[in-house]
Order: sequence, then C-alpha cells, then structure tokens
Amino acid sequence: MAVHSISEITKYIKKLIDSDSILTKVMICGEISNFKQYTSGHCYFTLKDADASLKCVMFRSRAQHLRFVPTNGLKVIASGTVSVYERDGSYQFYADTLVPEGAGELSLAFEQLKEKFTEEGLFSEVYKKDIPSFPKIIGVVTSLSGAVLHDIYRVAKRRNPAIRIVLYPVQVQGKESAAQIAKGIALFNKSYPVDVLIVGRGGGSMEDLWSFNEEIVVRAVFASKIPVISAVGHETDYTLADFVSDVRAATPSQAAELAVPNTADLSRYVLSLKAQLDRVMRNGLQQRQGRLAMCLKRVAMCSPQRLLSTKRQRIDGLQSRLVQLAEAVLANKKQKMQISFEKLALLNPTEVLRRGYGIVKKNENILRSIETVEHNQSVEVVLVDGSFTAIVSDVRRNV
Amino acid sequence: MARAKKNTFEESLCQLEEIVQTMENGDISLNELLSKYTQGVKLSQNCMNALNEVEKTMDTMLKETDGEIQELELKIEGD
Repeated sequence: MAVHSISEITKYIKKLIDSDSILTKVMICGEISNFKQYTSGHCYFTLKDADASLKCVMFRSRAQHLRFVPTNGLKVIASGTVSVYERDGSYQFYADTLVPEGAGELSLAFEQLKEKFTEEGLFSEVYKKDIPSFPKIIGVVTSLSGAVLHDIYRVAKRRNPAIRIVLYPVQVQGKESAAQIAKGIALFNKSYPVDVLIVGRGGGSMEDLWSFNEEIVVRAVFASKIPVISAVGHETDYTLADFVSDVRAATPSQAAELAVPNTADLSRYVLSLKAQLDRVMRNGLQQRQGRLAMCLKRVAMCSPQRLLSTKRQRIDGLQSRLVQLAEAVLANKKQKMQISFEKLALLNPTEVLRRGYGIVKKNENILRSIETVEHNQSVEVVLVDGSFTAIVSDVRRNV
Repeated sequence: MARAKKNTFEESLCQLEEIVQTMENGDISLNELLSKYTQGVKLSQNCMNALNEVEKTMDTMLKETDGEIQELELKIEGD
C-alpha cells in the first residue's frame, strides 16, 4: 500500500467532491448559526438542522446581493457548491444565494427558476436588443385599469405627442394572468408589429407579481423579436421578466421615458448636426479659398510684367555701374596725364637753361658735338634770358 | 408602414452622422464636398420633417376573439 502525504490525500478528496454532480450545484435548507461577516465582506456561518451541521462561506461578490441581513436562528434556503477547504481539511458549503425560508415556496421557486434560466442563457447580455431611437408606435401589455397605463401614456405623449400607443389589456395577477401576458407579447410579434413593447404592472407582494416570474412569460419575452422593456412593481422589486427583458425600467414612467425619446432632444441633436455640417462646409470652402489665393500670389510673382520689371532693374544697375566704371577710368587717365605733364616739364630746355646751361646753335641747328664746329665759325649761344653770337676761337676735344 | 417611417428617420440620422464625419475627416474633392453638403442638408430636413410630423394618430386597444384581432379606440381619462 502506498503512503500519501496529507496534501495528496486532501487533494484527492477535494477532487472527488468537486467532480460530484450533486455537490457542485445544490440547494439546501437549514438554520443559520455562528453568523459572522468580516470587514472584507465575506460571510462565514453554519447551517444546521436537528442532526447535522455544515460550515458555510459566502464571499463578498455574492453577499453584496443579499436583500436581507442573515441572522442566527433564521431558516434559509441556500444554493451553492460543496467543496473542500484544504488547509483545514474540512468540507464546507460555498453559498451563492441565500433566501429566508420564511418567504416560502415562492422564493424557492424564484431562485430555482432564476438558476434554470441563467443556466440556459436566457438572461445573457448577448441577446439584449437595442431600443429604436425614434419609435412611432409602442405596444403596451398591462392592465387597462390602474396607474401603469396612465403613467406610460402621460409620459410618452409628453415626450412625443405623435407617439401612438397600442394596448393589449391583460390581467396582471391571478391564474389567467401569465398566459395572457405571454399571448399579448406573441400577438404583437406575430400580427401587430410595433417598434417597442412595454410589459409591466404596478407594485405588489411577491405573490401579486408572480405572473412575471412564470416560465411562459419569461420565454415569451425571450422569444420576442420586438425589443421589450419591463416595468414590474417598484424600484426594489425584481422579477424574472426584468432579467430577461432587453431593458428593465424601475417604474412605468421610466419605461415610457426609455421607450420614447424626447422629440425636442432629437430636434436639438439634428439641428446640431446641421450646424456642424454648415461649419465643415464653410471650413472646406475657406481652406480652398486660402489655397487659391496663395496660388494666385505665386502666379503673380511669375508674371511677364514682374519678370520685365526685374530685368529692367538689372539693366538700370548695369547702366549705373557702367557710368561709375567710365568715370573711374577717366580719373585714372587724368592722373597719368598729370604725371606725364610733370615729367615733360622736367624735360623742358628752358628749365635746363634756368639752371645755368646754354644751347649752342648753328644755322638753327643745335650743336651736339665738336665735330660740327670749325675754327672762326660763328655760332649762336642761347641762355635763359637771351642769346648772343660767338666766334669759335679754339676747338678742344675731350680726351 | 410605421416601421418604414421609423427607418427613414433612423437611416437619415445615421447617414447624416456619417456625412458629417466624412466631411470632417477632410481629404475629399470640392465636388464631393458640395454633393455631400447638399445631401446632408436634405437629410437633416428629412429628419426634422419626421420629427415635426404630427399625424392624427389613434391610440388603440387590441381585442382578440376567436383569433380575430379587433382594434378599439383607447381612451385614457384625465388627458
């Protein structure tokens, strides 16, 4: 025989219990004792009868839905799962719902039906239909007498005076009631199409509201192709019809508000869309105008006139530069001439004569060499202030 | 028939919303812009007409006898 650890054997027991089809979904009744709710919100208590007791836990996620405060000694019906708490090696009951047994058969039936339909998926969000945004005709399944129809009528007409109301009158409690309600819903779907349905009644005891928990009604609401708004009882009353409907209204007046949008609100919305449309259009045009203006500006920059004037300006510039250049050249020449004049002045023979030199001429020819003079020849000697004639008396050659 | 009218309003409203959206996203030609605008104005008029339409409607109470549906006038007291 193998030897197992405590953990192993406990895990094994837990597995056995968790796989049991009865223990995973069970409803039990018993009396509460040792009830304790911790600040975490989790509740711990024991359910017992004359011969046995069972440790129970209700976690906060479940306990927050409790509509009464559990007290020691209270007889309740609990639904949930039996499982093993490994650390303590004890089995215990994990409660999902808790209903006082004193509320009787109906509470039990309610919980059972609710569980059944939940399991079937009848309450699932995926089946919820949208309420049309502008219904013209609404169907009402309720009593002809009583405040409900009156409230729905008053609110609906106030929000949209043109709304049309079609009533399928039913008994909202009693033996025939559930069948009538179901028939009404089916009738609208089959032969009298309306945009949205309101199904409901006024407040009352759980027994009074019971028709709206009955399977035939729940299934009729679920099968409806027309969106259904439920309005059963007061704010605090919940029926299965509320769970299965597309929208639950707390009161008949609220049902009418949900069913019939305020025409004035819709008008405002449409007008705001129109204003937006205008604005977008204006912006679109302005933007294009801006772009066009920009293009025109750029075209103007490239126009022949503009180009011509640019060239003209360039010519003007060249012209003035030419004049400047000519003037500069002229000045340069002038300066050079000045220098030449000065040089020329230095070369002027009279300037030389002024310094004491003389010029010897013969027959107007300037003598440059003694070779050209002879003895006793007469020559003219020019000095700065006059001239005289001289006779060559002696010729001496430089050695 | 009631349904067709409802659809006219809802479809018009949806289309109008779409048009405004498309125009706001920009990047459409001037022609398109103009035609969308024209369309949008028309749709908004349709919507307003639908909202302002006050038909003489008769509220009804249905009575079923032997599978036959009877329409009776529904009168609510005090309104």
